[in-house]
Amino acid sequence: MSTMVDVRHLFVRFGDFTAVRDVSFTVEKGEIFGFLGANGAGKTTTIRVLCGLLLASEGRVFIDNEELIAGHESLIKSKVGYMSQHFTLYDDLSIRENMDFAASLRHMNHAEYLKNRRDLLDFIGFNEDLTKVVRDLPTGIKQEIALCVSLLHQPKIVFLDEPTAGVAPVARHRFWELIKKLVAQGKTIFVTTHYMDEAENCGRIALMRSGELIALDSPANLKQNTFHKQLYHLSPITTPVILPDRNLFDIWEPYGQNYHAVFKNDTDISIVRKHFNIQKISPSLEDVFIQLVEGQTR
Amino acid sequence: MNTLWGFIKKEIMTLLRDPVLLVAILIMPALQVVILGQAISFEARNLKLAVDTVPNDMMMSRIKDHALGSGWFIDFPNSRQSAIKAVQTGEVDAAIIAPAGGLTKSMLRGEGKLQILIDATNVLKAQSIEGYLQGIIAHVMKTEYQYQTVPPLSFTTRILFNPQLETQWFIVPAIMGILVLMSILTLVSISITKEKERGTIETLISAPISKRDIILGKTLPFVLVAFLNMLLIQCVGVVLFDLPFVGSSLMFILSFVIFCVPACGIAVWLSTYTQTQQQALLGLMIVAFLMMMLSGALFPTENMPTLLRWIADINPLTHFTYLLRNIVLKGADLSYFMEKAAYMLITGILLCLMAVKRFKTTL
Ligand SMILES: Nc1ncnc2c1ncn2[C@@H]1O[C@H](COP(=O)(O)OP(=O)(O)O)[C@@H](O)[C@H]1O
Ligand SMILES: [Mg+2]
Repeated sequence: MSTMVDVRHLFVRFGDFTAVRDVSFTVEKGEIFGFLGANGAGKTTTIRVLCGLLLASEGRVFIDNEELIAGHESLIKSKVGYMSQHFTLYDDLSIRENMDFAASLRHMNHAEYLKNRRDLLDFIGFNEDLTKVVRDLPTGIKQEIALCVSLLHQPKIVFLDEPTAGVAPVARHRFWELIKKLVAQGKTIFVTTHYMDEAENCGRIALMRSGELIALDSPANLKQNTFHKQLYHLSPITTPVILPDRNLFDIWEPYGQNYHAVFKNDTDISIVRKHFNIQKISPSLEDVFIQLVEGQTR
Repeated sequence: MNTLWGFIKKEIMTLLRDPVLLVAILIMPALQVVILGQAISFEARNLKLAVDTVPNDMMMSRIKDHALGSGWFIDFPNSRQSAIKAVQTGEVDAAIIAPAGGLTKSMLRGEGKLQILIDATNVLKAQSIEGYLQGIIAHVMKTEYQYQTVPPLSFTTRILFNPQLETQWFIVPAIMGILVLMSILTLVSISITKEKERGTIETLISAPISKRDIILGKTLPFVLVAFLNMLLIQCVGVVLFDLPFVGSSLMFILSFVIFCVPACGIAVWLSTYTQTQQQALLGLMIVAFLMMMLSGALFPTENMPTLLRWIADINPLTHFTYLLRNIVLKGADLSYFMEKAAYMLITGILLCLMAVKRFKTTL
């Protein structure tokens, strides 16, 4: 596989606030690269730099072997597709008008545009009226149309910034099916999300915290490397809950009404058994993130 | 597909789907013409006066002294042009022309016929001028030469260019200028800040599109709307007030196009400072208000303090208004057009340079 995105020591500063600090990573061609992190972690800022919308303060960025150079962003812009975390569509224009405008921004040849539009609408399975005004569409459809708009010029890589934020679960699932289909067609996907279940779909995941990249690996490796010992699910039997001695645990995290925990010493399980039902579980990505993001700040 | 054409289609469609803004843009002008056409009054000072007579015409020079002494008029040193020509070109506001051989001699013959020429592109100014001059002349005749009443002196006052002294005729071109400015400022800066507010600006600048294309794309559609607007006002003027159209349509259109350069410059420049539509509206209200007040569109600039008059002199709206009045009411000649166009172009280019420098194609 060859490299699609290469980021080297990227810094982005707003005044004396550093939103992205010394971030380096590569994205391979044809992978789904998940970019995760809490709100304000610097995901959007990084994406904006990669798409040529924001100038980096320091560091180098290569997209498809072409370096992103300030003042010459157009070269990169014509190679990438971008779907911003806000609605990228014009609310008061129809679907067709939105797509027409996007095509005109990219100086697309009319015949090529019509063909791509047809293909993309088929791809998302949309066969309704194109004269519908975007404002009146359900959120899920808006997002899919926005995806089509970002793909109109057939970029090799698309950057999707929280594409499923605020979308109903069924529509979210549909959207991820589309993403998988795109990758099957050879596209590279760079996607941010804060839904952990979605992150499982990614080939590799980069985890950001306060502008820094704190982990980068496949979901399976992340789980394995974060939890060296067995993880347990503890559900309280008694009300009120009688909390055990915190010193018994390496990890103790509330999980809804229950707890996820790693014992310092698995022989201590019997002590806690009086008050909790205890089950062995394999860690989810959510466990990993809680561990990496919140665990380290405590 | 062509980017500019894409922008025009998009902006016009957006506008058509916003009925409130559409009404505001198309109905308000007509309303303003009707209301302002009735309501505005003017006071004029520092009017430029030319006196045309033979040397050693004592009576005429006394009249001139009194006119200048009154504080209403300022002297206009004799130019090589004839007085009529000076009024026609707008070089002076009024001229008093003595009968052949001078007023003193002809009064002795008992047949003093004075001609007063007044530039009435500004109709209220013209009315004041006529009043002032007749008063001053009668006063001089009475106090210095003991002529009790007007005979043997007789006046013929010729009001040039707007003989019926129609206030509305004068006000319509002024409103035209103001509304062209207002509609461009409003539409351009609102549409730019709306993109910022809704985040669609990201889509826009994620395309490989030059700064020039964005700025043109964000202004040109509204220049077209503003032009429709101007035509609409002219129509209202014609229908309601029998407004004539003396000048050349080509000059009319060209002066509009040239005025759009500074207007768009200001609009884009303003929008680089604003993030939300509210801020944009507030900003453009302030700018538009100042430009309107300091333009001579509604109030004559002659009696403003020097500093404000300087501002009025560089204000492109001043030149646009004067030019429009001239074209519509008296058919401006080419040199007048060129002069005003040059002023507007120079300020326009400067404003556009400022705007382009500040306009960013990154977030
Ligand atoms: N234009 C800006 N000026 C100042 N601070 C900014 C700007 N854009 C983003 N930030 C700050 O940078 C940090 C990272 O923001 P962002 O990249 O949007 O985070 P995320 O997308 O991960 O939620 C936040 O603290 C945010 O407030
Ligand atoms: Mg974000």
